[in-house]
Amino acid sequence: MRVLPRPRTSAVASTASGMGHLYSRWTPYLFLLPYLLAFLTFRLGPSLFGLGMSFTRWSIVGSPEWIGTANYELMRIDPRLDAALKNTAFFTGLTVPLLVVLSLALAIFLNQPHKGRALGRVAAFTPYVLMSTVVGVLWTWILEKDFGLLNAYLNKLGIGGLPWLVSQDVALYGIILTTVWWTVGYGMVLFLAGLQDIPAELYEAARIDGAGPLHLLRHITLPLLAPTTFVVLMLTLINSFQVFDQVYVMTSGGPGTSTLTLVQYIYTTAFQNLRMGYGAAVATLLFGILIVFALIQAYLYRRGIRGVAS
Amino acid sequence: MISMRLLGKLIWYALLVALVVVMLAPIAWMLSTSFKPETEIATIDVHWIPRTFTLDNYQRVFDRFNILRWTLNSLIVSTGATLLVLLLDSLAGYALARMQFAGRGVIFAVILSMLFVPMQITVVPLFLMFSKLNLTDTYLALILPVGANVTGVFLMRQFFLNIPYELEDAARVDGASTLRIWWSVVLPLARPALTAVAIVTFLSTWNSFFWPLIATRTDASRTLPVGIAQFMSLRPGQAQGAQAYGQAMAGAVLAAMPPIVVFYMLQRYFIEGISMTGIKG
Amino acid sequence: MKKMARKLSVMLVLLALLLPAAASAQGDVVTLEFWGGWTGPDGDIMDQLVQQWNAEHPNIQITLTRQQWSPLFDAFVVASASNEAPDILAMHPQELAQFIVLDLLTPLDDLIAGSEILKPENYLESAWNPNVYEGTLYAIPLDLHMHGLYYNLDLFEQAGIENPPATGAELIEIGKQLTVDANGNHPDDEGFDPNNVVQYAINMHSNHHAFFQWWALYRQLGGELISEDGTECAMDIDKAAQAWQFLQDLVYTHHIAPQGQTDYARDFLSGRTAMLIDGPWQMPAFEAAEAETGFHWASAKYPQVFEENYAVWGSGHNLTLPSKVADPEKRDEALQFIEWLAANSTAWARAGQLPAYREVMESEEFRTMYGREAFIEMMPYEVFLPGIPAYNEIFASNAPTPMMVMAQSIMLEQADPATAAQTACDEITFILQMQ
Repeated sequence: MRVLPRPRTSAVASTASGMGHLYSRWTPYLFLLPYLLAFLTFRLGPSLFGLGMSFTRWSIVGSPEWIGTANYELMRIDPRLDAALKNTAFFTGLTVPLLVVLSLALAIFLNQPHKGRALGRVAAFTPYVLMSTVVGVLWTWILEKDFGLLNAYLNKLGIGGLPWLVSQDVALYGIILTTVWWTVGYGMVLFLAGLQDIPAELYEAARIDGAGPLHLLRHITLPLLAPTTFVVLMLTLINSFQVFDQVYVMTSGGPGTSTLTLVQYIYTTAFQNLRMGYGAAVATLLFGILIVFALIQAYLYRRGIRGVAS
Repeated sequence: MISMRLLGKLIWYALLVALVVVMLAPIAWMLSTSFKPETEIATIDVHWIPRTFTLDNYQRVFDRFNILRWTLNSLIVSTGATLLVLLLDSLAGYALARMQFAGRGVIFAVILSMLFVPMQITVVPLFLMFSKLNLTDTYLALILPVGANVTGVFLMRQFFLNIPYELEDAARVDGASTLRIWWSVVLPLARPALTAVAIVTFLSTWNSFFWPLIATRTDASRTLPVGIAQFMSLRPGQAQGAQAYGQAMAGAVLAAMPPIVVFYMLQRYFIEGISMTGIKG
Repeated sequence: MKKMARKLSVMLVLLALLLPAAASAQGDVVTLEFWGGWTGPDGDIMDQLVQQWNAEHPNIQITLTRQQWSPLFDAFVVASASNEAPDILAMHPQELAQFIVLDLLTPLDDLIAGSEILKPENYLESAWNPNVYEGTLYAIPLDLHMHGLYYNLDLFEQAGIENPPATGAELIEIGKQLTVDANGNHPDDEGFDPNNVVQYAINMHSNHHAFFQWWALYRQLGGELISEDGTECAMDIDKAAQAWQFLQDLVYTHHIAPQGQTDYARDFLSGRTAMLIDGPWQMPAFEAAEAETGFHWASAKYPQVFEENYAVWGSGHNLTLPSKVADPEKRDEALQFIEWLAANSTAWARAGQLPAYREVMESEEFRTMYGREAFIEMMPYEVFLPGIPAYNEIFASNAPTPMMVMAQSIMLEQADPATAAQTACDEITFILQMQ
């Protein structure tokens, strides 16, 4: 039921129109009403308010002052924004592939019919239930330069420790490491579900034809996991672009600007520098970037599906 | 051939052990540190079992902070928010998936697009609103905004797209109203999706930090993440004085234990539930 | 109509006059919200003080909210936007201006006019004056703090050193004797291995305290940072670079301080560094270590590295009355509490803070507390960072502000001090002109 969602959508349309007389014109809106009320009040409204603020100078207290597109023009010459964009792109560029590949590998590994795989699944997912404050503080301690657990073992192995959170060259890797540990279990669970949907007969048939494990992976597992991969990719991309909690707790963007990410910058600008208008403008930029990514991905996905179908 | 398979199995188990160790070691280290006296914590050599086992760190956390109250607040808020989301999202998801009406596509697209708006930007208008209603520092201020969540609606809609029509049609023929069908036919079928939404909502509300920080003022409504934040910073110079690792780790353990215990007890539902969140549209 | 309106208004006025009387007659309890960023042991002592007050004053009950400074101010600003600010808010003098220009704090001159306690002559000048912004008082000082020099008496004795360094030259000279690598060599010895040092002479901050130290040295050279009209950076790049160079050399040339140190208090307690430059808030931990493990420590003044004039980085805590509160009528009660706190700040001094209230500061009980003497001597030489409206944007410790970026690039990445200082100066001007 998960493999073929698209035709179902059209089934909805035909059934509903065929039975349209069974519910009144207003029923759908009544069903939507409670949620839409909450959505408009607590989400869309405040977001549009933010969009409006991006054309003002506003220090949270007092009244906003309309300044047209001045905030957007400021973005073009703001060196901190450049750093934030660069760091966010680097973080996303590294975290997303890492998470997708590792969670896929974990899922395939823990899908092997051996006893004990449930233990592996539980262990891999455990970090995901922790709150960001705990994860941030725990990893600040583990990545501590002199007494931290990680460096203690790196030293023991003769590799030598790294100044994890106190060097501009490696601080972002420290955040990435933390993020991967924290969230890899989520992708793994999604991939595991995807794997259950692949009919076992496909593998058996291919094995009878003499296909090796690599062949199975390339020609059955990966293509049939494409929809799941799309979802995991999309979710990790959205989350990576908006990475904030770990940065806020562990480094606040430092040392220097080495871990300054877009949302951390929005937070700093809006709440610490009290430039709510400019913060809102940067948030609008982030929204734009994500929409573009979402559209590109949706387009590629549709093309990919059509390619498979034809 | 048999020895090859045995070798493969051995490698698999070796990797499994490595995986379990890597994923759980940080949490074990957190536990271990929380039972050590501060003098034993920052030493270069690693020892997992505390040489001097102490409960002082926990004692200090309990003495200094109202951590039980924060936990209770978090429980109430997360439960309330989860119930609210289950109700709103199963109604909305049902309409979006199973009914034809003008603006359906646009409404769904606008809802989804809100995933791309960083929450930092919506916090101030939210606060102004709750303040006008005289609701700051109440459970309601923490619960109501969760009702606007996007993932829940998305999940419910995706699930409803995929359930068969026959049961509904039968109920309709029997003359049941749409609301009745939703309640007694569709919802029972949607248990897996509801579980998923419940777990995701509960977790994210339990862990949420920034909005509760702004919206709460006293221990009457302060939640766990906000409460523990005051003694959890380990960045040098944040709290003036030496970093108290033991105490921070004790706080971390206390904050981490409820979700971990619940997860271990209900792990099957968790993993099934979470895997629902990946259903494709 | 008019008559009725008049009658009504008379009744209202009467009511208004009667209500407070009725309230006090019934013994109604006034509750005050008090927010502070003390999250360490100092916060516990403040909590105890508040509890003591609450026990002694059943009619005025205070709720203390503790949170780290930065999120505390986030919540303060947002709460102010809808008149829900706390009744009393603690902060640091240099942070006042940014809130004053937004009209978030109450001017205090008129309110304290009748007070016998809250008067400038009862306070140290260096503590009182930074709370005056453009001629108006906005906060009552609570305490001062500044960098001092702690040293490990045992390690000094082992190395045969009697006195702590008082100048920059002495710091380097003594520092070399106190720095030892794994083979027992000192920095000037042949075969000294800077990558394998087991004992450093002194700590080196990798956080905002690095630029606090730079600020002290730069002020010792007589440098200014912001132009008088507040519109541009007035940094003397040569002096700025000279001050940074001294700090950078301690790490990278003389090898007497570690690079990228994170837990300097612990390193000092464990003997990994023989000296520590940090604030008076460390003393309770050292006292505890002395009681537990016999750790021997003493304190001295921050060294005078440059001869021009003596200066040491400092700040302090103060108490403000936010203006955007639900009920401004509670201000008198709030001031009563602040008066009481001043007189009872001996307990606060035990948290390592240096009381700003003269009577307590000059009391025998405080002056004879171990280790305080050096800090008391430094009080008049304390230099605050410029309290300007853009303070947070330029100086905040938890964001990539120009000062943080300058400090970390120089001290962690060994950037060229003059170049980094020039970059910071350009950024500061950029920020000031955006205002």
